[in-house]
Amino acid sequence: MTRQRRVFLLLAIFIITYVAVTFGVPPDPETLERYNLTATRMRFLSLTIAIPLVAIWYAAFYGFAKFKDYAELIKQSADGQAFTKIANGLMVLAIGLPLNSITSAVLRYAGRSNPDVQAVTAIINNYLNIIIALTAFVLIGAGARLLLGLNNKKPPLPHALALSLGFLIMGSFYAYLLLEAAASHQHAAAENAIHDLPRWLVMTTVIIPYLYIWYTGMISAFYIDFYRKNIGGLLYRRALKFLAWGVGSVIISSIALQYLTALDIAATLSLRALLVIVYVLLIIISVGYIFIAMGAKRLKQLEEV
Amino acid sequence: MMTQRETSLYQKVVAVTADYLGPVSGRFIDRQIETHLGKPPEELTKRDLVTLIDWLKMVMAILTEDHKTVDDFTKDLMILVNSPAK
Repeated sequence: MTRQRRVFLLLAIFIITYVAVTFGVPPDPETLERYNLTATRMRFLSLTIAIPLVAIWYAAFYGFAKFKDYAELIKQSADGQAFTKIANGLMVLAIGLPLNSITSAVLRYAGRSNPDVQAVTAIINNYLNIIIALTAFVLIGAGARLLLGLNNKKPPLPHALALSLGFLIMGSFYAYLLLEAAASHQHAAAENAIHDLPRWLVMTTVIIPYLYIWYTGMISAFYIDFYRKNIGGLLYRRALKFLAWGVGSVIISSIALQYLTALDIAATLSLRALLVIVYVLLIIISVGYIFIAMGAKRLKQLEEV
Repeated sequence: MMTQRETSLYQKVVAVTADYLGPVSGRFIDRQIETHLGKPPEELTKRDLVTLIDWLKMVMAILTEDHKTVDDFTKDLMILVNSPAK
């Protein structure tokens, strides 16, 4: 079986599982009450969410499959080794999209069925998100550093400092909000059970990993863009442009989605506002993967013609 | 058997191509020489260069619709044809 077929078989399995989990279990009565919905309306809403979600997953799987094909073609070369690591990281992020949706739905249902384990399932869900993101960004970061090493130039210090400053502000704000929530135990639902953990545990197993993930992601996007701007070869740079934009979009949007999820903004927003924000970010991610596919196709042409 | 002059010519062709294809240039030129000239890249001679340039011009036209880029690439390679042998 070719790689493409294996990839889309995996996607098909995820889609079937997601549909089974989403429509096979009864709707959450608390959610129905919170948003003033009937069960039928909730099902319809789930359908309107499922269709674009599946389209987004398809774009993500298509993008990383094309990129992986290109990386495989040049894997013996120095840039090939870098692109292979980045492709693998994007693969983990792409697989993480349906995996997160499915495990969230399963764990939420498990928590609803047995209220004693609700907090535990919420915590497991949080940690699964961290593990997926950590794996993905460690791989992308390793690939981005390899790419940077191929250039004899180093990024200008002011740019690196500006990035670090931006990260410090974002990270500090996140750590402050999470620790405040942990200290005050202000939570309306078990979904926020992560805030009930001891602060040292929240710091070491949630805040620090997320800060590392976001810093690695941001610096990787920066290195890949720097490589694109400074590598030789007019046609190569033009082909690489789509790839770099795509990878940057996926990284930044993934970070934004994780940031919002980790801060648990859901409880403070209306359903409409929440859906708009999440969908905008998911659409940016899928557009990013489409750019990745376009860039990989052009780069592959340079290797095959 | 490789001579210094012939190795230098192949490297010059790769160097010119690198301005357009960057890290891909070595692999690209190797493939064009092997496919269209039917010989190992390191055996490239000045006599082969004109034929190779014709092929490279055609392939570049497939890779880009920018005629100026294709013309500039061809002109840069023609300089190697006209340069004195060392």
